[in-house]
Amino acid sequence: MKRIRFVIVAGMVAAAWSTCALAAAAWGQQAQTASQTAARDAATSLHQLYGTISRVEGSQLTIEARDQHMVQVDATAAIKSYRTIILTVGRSINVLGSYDEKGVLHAQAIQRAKSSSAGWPPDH
Amino acid sequence: MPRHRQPPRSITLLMAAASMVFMSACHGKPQAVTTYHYDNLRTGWNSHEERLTPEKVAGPHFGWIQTVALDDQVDAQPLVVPDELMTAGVSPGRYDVVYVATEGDSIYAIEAATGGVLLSKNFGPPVPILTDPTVPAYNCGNNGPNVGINGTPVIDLPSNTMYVIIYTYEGGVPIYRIHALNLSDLTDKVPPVMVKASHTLTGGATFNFNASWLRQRPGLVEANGNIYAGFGSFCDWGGFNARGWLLGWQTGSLTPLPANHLNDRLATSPANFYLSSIWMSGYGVAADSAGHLYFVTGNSDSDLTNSTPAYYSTYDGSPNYNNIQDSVVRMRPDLSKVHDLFTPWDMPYLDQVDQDYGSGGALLLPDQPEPLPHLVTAAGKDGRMYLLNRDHMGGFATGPEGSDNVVAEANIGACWCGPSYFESEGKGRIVSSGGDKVMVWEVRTSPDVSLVHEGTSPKVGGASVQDSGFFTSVSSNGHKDAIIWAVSRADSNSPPKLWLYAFKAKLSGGSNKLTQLFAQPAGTWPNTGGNANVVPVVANGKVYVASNAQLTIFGLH
Repeated sequence: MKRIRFVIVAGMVAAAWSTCALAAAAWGQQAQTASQTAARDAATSLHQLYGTISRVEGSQLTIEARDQHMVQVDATAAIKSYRTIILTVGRSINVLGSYDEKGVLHAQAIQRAKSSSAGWPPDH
Repeated sequence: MPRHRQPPRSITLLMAAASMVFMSACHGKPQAVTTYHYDNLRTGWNSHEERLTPEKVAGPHFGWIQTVALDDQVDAQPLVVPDELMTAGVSPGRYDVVYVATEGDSIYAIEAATGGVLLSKNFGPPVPILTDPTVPAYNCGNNGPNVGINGTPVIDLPSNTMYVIIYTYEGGVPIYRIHALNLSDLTDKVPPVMVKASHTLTGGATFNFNASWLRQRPGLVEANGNIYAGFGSFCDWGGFNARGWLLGWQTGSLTPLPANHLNDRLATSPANFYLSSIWMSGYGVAADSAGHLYFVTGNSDSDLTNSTPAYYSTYDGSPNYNNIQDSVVRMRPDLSKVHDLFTPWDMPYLDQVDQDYGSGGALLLPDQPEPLPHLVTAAGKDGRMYLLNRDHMGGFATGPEGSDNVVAEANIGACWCGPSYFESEGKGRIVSSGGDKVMVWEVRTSPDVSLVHEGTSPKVGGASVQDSGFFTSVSSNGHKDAIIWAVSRADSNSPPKLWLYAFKAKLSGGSNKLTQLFAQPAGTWPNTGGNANVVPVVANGKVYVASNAQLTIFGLH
């Protein structure tokens, strides 16, 4: 009988401990959600454009977007801050930046993208 | 409706406890997983798995057991230590423990059987790479919001120590430190050491390790009484500062080795790109029985201004080794010298179109029969898997008419991935995971050494915005009951899911199709900009899959 009681107590301890673990887990998830929200906010404050480099002249690029439109990209800031891949014609890229009134996208960061446009996330 | 009489709960608990004790007694010594892909060769093969047979995994009693919530994304492979004496935490005592390190810079000690968190410890603020514009590599999207512990730690069982490199953001400065942690309580055994290094460039200038622009992604390796770690760039960014390093520290004291290795030692480069990173999609740096180290390097500056020697490249391989991009490299244990390398003949093209060979890791095959007992294999973004002789790796374009000088070659599909290896029926087999399928290749050793395709799996995972390839491991009971395990890349669900797959490794009836035994969601991966390079860890009847902010445990019910 003593042994059975011990097992029951052990079970209760385990249950209490699981509850603590779940509470800690919930806290972790909240922290993660807040962090992810902040990340999304930061990302959505910039425009994102996927395309393929069709021309390079110094820090000025022409890229072909997924709808075949040509977009002028000024990569000066990205190059200055070292936030760019090597820029050569034919590379698929993801540009994060802001458009000016002339429609030029001023890149803050340029990353590699999958070579096929089918795998590109939406622009925004 | 008839109602079955239930035994008293206390009796049920007793029976369950007795059953667990009985099961433990009936199986061999519990297996530890102390390093990336189970061993320094990086085979990914646990040949001591007695509980999980193909029949049981395909049956109704195998499946999800527990989900453990964690504080951030997990890129490091979980590690397993049986019968560890935990001296701190909620319930000190002896447990089989799974250790999981997160990008939030936390390490969890989790009870293997139940998923209960025994102890967790946070080591400081990770680098908020997507949220803080003051971070140098701000907006590099090849990761989650934070970068903390990225590379898989390594455990030294005899000294009860975990070695781990932790990335923290302190006063606006990203810093790497290597820690030697006591497995029993996750405290530092010696003061952690800040990662620093310097190397001489061509022309004589001193070049310093710059933590702001370097990602510690490959799994750590313990060999020769040292811990080694590889470094590469964030998103190919960082200009002059971002170059591939291999660094080492003595176990115990964490004293840095006198020598270190820098893959690109050029003083200048046409487009101010250097790189030649060591990243391997998280695969571990490998070590052979003599302690030589192996890794694969990524792209560098393709130098479109240079037409000599007919290739656009800044490559400078043997004998100078001043820039060794897109190569499998063999290093001396003391890091003082590159012993040998293999570079694909079309490296300049790979460089120019960002087709890194170094997106995949290098697997060292256990010794094979003569004439070529020492083999290594690695594949990259363009999907070619090369089988190389470790004793003469092939150099750069040393074959007939400037072709590759390799043992064998196979197309496995685009590979942000790394191979596994197992043996059955007296034959060695490589498991590749390029594209979206597992493939099994027999390593034929007579009359010539060759790769013979044996089987291909059904598609692994659904449509994905992530890069091609994924990671596998293999479990077996000696040379029988081999199962190939795989975790897919993130699918197109919302939130994106990762899936755990199991395939029977033994082909039957002349078929070349691997039989799927199991497939179930195993976690989520919302930060799809960074590939899910998730290795399924199989040990002692359980399968552990770490993903975004959770560990999922599978096993027999």
